[in-house]
Amino acid sequence: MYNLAMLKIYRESVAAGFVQVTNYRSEIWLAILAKVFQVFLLILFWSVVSKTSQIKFEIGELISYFFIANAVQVLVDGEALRFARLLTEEIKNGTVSSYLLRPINAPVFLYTRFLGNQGLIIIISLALTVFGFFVYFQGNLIKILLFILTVFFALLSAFGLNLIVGSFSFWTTESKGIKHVVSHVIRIFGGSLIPITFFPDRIKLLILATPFPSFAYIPGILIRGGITSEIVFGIFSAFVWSFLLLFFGFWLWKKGVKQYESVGI
Amino acid sequence: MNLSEFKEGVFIRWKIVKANTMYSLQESVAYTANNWGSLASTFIFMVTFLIFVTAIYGNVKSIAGYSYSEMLVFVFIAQVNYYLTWGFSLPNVVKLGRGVKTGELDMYLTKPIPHLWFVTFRKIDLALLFSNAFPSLIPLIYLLIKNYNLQIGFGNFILGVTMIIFGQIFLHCFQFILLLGAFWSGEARGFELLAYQLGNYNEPIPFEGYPANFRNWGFVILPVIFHTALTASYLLGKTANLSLFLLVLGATIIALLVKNFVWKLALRQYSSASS
Repeated sequence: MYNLAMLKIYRESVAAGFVQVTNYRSEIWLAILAKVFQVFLLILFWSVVSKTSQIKFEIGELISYFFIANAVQVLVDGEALRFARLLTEEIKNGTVSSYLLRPINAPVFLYTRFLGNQGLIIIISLALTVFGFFVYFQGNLIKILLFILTVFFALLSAFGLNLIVGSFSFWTTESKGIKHVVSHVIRIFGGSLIPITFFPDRIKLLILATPFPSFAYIPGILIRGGITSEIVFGIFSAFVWSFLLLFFGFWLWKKGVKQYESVGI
Repeated sequence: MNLSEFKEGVFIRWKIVKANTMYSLQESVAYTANNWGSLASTFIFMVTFLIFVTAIYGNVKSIAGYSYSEMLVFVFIAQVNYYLTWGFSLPNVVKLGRGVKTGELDMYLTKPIPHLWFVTFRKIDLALLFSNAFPSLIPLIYLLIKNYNLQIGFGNFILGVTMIIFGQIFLHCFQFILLLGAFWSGEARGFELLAYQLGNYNEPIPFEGYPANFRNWGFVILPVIFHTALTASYLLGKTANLSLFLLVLGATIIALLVKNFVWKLALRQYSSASS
């Protein structure tokens, strides 16, 4: 009974977040335009690399890879770490107190509201992903299922990572710097800017053992060829990291709350 | 306007720049933790970006005719432009957009000062240049020295510096005009993202890599072609096209005029948030 009531609260939180975002429509559309522009420039860059060097890409594959990789990364909030920014703001302004006083799981509640806020972005990301699949897809139902599974693990990992970065604000108040550092690392090692195949083999293996490739690279390469050992290793790694990051994220949050001081409490 | 009025105008503008520079410096120094975080962020960005470039050149010999060392020069120019934009231009543009949304702009409009000048030079972040730019450029400079095998003539150097200055002015006008959209929509964040995305680079695309017809007019919608790609091309002696040089200089002057015009238009449209 209690769980059902909780679910209702979280569902309403998503809805409230979505209503909130409809007030800022121009902001959302311009942000989407900026992202699409970024992906087009990325495709232009790699087509320049392909045209003027020894490495050759099929343009359909290229478009598809970068659209899917970037869309998934936005979908799971695995680059800009917007949820971490929200947590930082809530902690910095002291508004997190109102959530801590309620009989709810504060990070989950905030995340559901955040998901509602990101509703339009999520819908557009999904549309871009579907577009990527239509442009170039060599696979079958199993690969689609693996894609969904990877995105699910990526979503959990990204939530955990956001929670960790955001929780640092309990100690440092301002965790913008940490957030940017993590974002830069993800940008390069996640595969949304450069396919991981470009790295030397040993480094590639190391990168695949991190949670970042599941945010962009693994979903991006699932569009072509067979199920390689790279894909299997990447998905397994994502599975393990989703548990580790979630566990550490909640642990750090609890630690942070214990030492949190706010005016009025 | 007589001479004394002109002198007074120049004096007021100088005073505004001086006061804003001092205030910006105090503001930056006050948040030490933020500065460290910011330095760590830009340093890591530089390192990861160099990993990106080096990984690509581990697989290819050249991109659009640019060797590894030429690409490092390209990245260096891009970084210089990035810090100049963040030191002098973008924070002002961002503050303007937010000022429109919150109604903060009202306060400045009531003051007897040259408003456009004030909002253009509200923040001059010299601390960013000294505390962030120099340290974060160290890995890039190290790689440049290690791999340097270029001959850059004095003429090309002067041309490159001129292009950076004009490119920065053009970029500022471009981003400023874009953010003025906030006067109509009431929202600034989306315009900020777009201004940043179009004005700065994420991918090192050389000027010669853009489609042929895009090279002449593309900078109008993508100023990064002007302040970074074309600058690198002139500096490295890959372009010697004088008509293109004159075209971008002309475009800069037009951009300044358009900025002035759209600012007046936006003020007429402005309905204060607090009135």
